[in-house]
Amino acid sequence: MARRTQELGRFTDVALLVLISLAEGQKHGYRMISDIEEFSGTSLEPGTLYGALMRLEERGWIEAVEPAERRKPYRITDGGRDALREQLATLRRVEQAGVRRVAWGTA
Amino acid sequence: MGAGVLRAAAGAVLSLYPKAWRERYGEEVADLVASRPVRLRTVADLAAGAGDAWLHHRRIPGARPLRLPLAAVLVAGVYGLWLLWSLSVRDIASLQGVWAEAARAGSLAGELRRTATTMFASAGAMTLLSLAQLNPAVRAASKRAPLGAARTTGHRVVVTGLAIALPIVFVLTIYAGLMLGAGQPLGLLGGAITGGFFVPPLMALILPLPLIAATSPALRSAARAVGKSLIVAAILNAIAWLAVAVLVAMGLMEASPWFVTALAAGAVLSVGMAALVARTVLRRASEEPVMLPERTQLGRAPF
Repeated sequence: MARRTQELGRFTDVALLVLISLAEGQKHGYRMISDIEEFSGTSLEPGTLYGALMRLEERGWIEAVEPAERRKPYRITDGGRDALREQLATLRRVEQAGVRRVAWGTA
Repeated sequence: MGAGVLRAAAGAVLSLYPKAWRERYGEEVADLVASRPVRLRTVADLAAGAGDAWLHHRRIPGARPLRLPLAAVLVAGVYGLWLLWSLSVRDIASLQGVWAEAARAGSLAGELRRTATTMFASAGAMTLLSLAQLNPAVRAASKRAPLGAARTTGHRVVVTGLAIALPIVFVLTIYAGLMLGAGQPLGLLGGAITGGFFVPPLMALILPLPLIAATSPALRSAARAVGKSLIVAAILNAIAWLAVAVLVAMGLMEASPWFVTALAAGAVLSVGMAALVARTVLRRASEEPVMLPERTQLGRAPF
């Protein structure tokens, strides 16, 4: 996904947070912001969130769900789930490399 | 700053987003703004988001390609051209220096100057003469189709022609006045380049006529003929600019960077506008018409 997310530009990190939030289940914008703040400590503003949602929707990684109430929820697609897995694997490799190098530095 | 003011500002910023974006996400974001605390950071974030949405318009789900209105492009182009012309001919030192330097190379400078002037004038003449091809078609449509839409379109062509006659005469008068030495003297090089700044506005002025004609199947072939003549005019305009480019290259040492920049930008704009006008006419005149069943005495034909 690292290569695939290059086009997301400054929204790459936000897109990852949105995918993680939606991996748990469908959510509308308001709940996504609260959820992301809760699990990552990042407080997203609406302009940034919807910039990421636009890109994720365009790529087919998320899709809008017919709303049962006033607010429109989004859910992650199979493609989005694959992309998320790939990105998390990349982050794991980065994390392992980082931990190894920090250990070397202190040894 | 009060929360109410910030909330109002956020609402105002939302209206700056592209229409397609507002149709897709506007309600959801307005709901978010209404139900969460709005800070200065929120307004700034929305403003940045609006800029981003315009920059990446094609990414908005369901958005149609962003198209600038042709009229706005042409009007901006005409203003741009005349601004660049004014900047070019105001640099008298460059105009005279480039010409003197080029003239040292012999008769080539004179030939190039004559070529540029003649080609620009021919492009203008070709533009005006192209309209002659509409005349017989409009007349024939009036005679042949007394009840049809072709006659109405023919009338619209005539009325529009009368409406644009005055601006055309105005443009031609200014050009003739400048070439005959009225106002600031342009010098030999200034006279050679001036035509290139007047041909595209002339082409833009006559554009409505073939475009109106192209809306009627009976007048479409005449509109296509106008389009072909405009292509020739655009090519003549480009050739003239080529002659100007060689001329300026011969005396480049004497030209100021501003002069070269203004002239190069003018050339690009002039060639681009002429090509745009000609291409627009040809494209519209070649589009397949939406054929409605013909009206008969018994009503619409059943096919």
